[in-house]
Amino acid sequence: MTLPAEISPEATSRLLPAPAAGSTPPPRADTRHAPAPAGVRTRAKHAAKAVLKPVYQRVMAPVTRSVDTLARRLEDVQQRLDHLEGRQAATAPARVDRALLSEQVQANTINQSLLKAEFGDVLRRFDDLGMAIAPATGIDGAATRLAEQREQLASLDRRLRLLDERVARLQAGGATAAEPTTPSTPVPAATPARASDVPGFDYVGFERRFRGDPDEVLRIQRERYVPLLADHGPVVDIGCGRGELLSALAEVGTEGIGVEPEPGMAAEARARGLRVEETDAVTFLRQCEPGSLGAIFSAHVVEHVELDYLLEFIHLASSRLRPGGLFVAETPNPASLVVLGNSYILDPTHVRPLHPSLMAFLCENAGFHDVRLNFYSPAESYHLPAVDHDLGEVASAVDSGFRRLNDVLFGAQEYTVVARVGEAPAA
Amino acid sequence: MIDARIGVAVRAPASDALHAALSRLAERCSVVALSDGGPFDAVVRTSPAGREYAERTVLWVEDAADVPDDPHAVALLAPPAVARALRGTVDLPVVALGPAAVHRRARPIMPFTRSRIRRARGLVGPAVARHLGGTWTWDGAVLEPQAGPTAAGLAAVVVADDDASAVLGAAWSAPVVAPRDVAERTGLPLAASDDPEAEVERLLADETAAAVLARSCRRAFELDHDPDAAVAHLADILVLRPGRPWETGYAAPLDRLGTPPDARIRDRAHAAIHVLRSR
Repeated sequence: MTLPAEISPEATSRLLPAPAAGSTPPPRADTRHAPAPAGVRTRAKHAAKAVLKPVYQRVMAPVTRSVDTLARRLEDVQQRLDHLEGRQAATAPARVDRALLSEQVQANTINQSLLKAEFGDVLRRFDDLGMAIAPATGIDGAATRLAEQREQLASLDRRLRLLDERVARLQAGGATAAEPTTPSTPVPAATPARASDVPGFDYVGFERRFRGDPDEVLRIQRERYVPLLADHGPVVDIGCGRGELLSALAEVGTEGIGVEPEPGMAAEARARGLRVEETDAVTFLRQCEPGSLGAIFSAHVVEHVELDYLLEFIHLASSRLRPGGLFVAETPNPASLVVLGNSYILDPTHVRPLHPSLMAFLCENAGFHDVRLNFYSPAESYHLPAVDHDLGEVASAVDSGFRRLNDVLFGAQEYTVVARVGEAPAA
Repeated sequence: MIDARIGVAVRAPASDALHAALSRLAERCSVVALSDGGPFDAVVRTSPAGREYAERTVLWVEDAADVPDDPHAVALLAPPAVARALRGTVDLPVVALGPAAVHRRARPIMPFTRSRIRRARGLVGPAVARHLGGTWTWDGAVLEPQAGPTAAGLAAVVVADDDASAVLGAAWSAPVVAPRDVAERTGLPLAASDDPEAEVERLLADETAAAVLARSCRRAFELDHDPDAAVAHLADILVLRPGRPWETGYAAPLDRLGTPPDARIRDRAHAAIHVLRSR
């Protein structure tokens, strides 16, 4: 039956009106066809049917049985399929929940990665801020650095008030206050002159032996400083030697001026077509117009001069650079003890080691803004080995200690202070 | 069942309506998270993919006034009430899914077939079934509650006063006369007049009008109240294979229409299929 049970004769009987007591039931609709009048053709048909019917029944009986069997099997299969589909349908809400949960987890993972990236960016900006405030110690020393600056401001304020009082007394015709004497840097004791037949210190030969392959040194210099200085012409190279760095800057279109007191090297530099002043740094800068230079660079120069000379050099640099100009000085890093006890004392012409914090302080005092320290060439060949943290807490503590020792004993062998002159205030 | 793998790309918590629609879909095909990996026959999204290349999208819409524009969308999926508001206003086909399947045994029985069955069963009279105040009547005589489907399947006109009885009548493809609010909630065609008895008289006198109304009621049922029909519509949109290979051809549609097993039309349909496949 393909008609649903709801419209079967049994179900339909519920729609028929109940017969009244004692009344005859309504006649059923007669669905049989009225018999046709019998004719020759009809009688022949009936006769043939009477003969063929038994044959038909004998043949069709097994076929009908097979069809019935197949129909029953199909119904069984259909019922089992319906049962399976019913089970799958019952789990549909759970499967939907699982799919939605998977997507939510995926979205959360992506959000987490984005948050990590944002957090990393924030940390980087914190580090930059820390380096800007306190170049030697970063954000950790920012509070101390700011306290120092407050103290400097207070000190300036006190000095200004003193000056105001002196001016007021002078104007009132009072006695001139005695000028406070400023302490001067100690003068080293005089040393006896070298005998005339003893040759001077062969610095060129010394550098050739101990400073390393000159080509490698120059390659590193070009890599570090050409991109930094390229947009800050004219660049003054203090102690330019044979002018290799200035030549590299000229290749990228940046104007350069060399300052080299050694005549032989100055001549070699001029032979490259470079402008070279055969004098010392302070003398050259005194002659320059204020705000006329784009950058002042020196490599392994500042550790060779006395403190007063260094102070004047840095102050002159600050005034001769234009707004946004760069002061770049590379020097050995004495905070790495392997440098202090080895390569620094090897050179007899070194005057004093300059701690990175000291250089940063001197630059800030001279009025530079945005003083940064960049450290290079850690003495990795001396480093104590790393210890696997998976070996336990003791191993972790040992590894942490070794790292600190590596930083103190075998840290960066040289550093560069990069100081910028502040931009001119808006009119 | 349809042989389809539908991906779900819903990042925000799913609303109850969306969960219900996805459950209806999961009852009839494979529904998995997009992050499980493809291939997918379609992906259900609540917002546009935002990429130049993406799978075919079935876009879920819960607010008819806010339909996102997705170049990858091939259909819109919505709760029945929203789907009714969207049809005719958007260029894409709209599939309504949400409520669970009801009246699964119901078959469309058209007015001509109904009258023949009534004659065969000896049911004389105008054959008006009414559901009023929770009670079914047949030409004024009160019926048992379980006789409701029978009445809906054989009546010349069904007068319904609530959503359930109206949907029951529509499931059996009866010409349903219902109040305006019931018709609007269920998506059935609105009556020509507000007087139900006048409407009944009109339909009893005009067989053509009754047949048109019957067809419209059944269509409304298939669009908004029959998840099987909705998913089959979706399969047509996605051009998918039927889940049961033996359901190709005319046998299944003839079964759904209640065609007797020995009807000559089955032989004619089988012959037509044979001719088409042999070409």
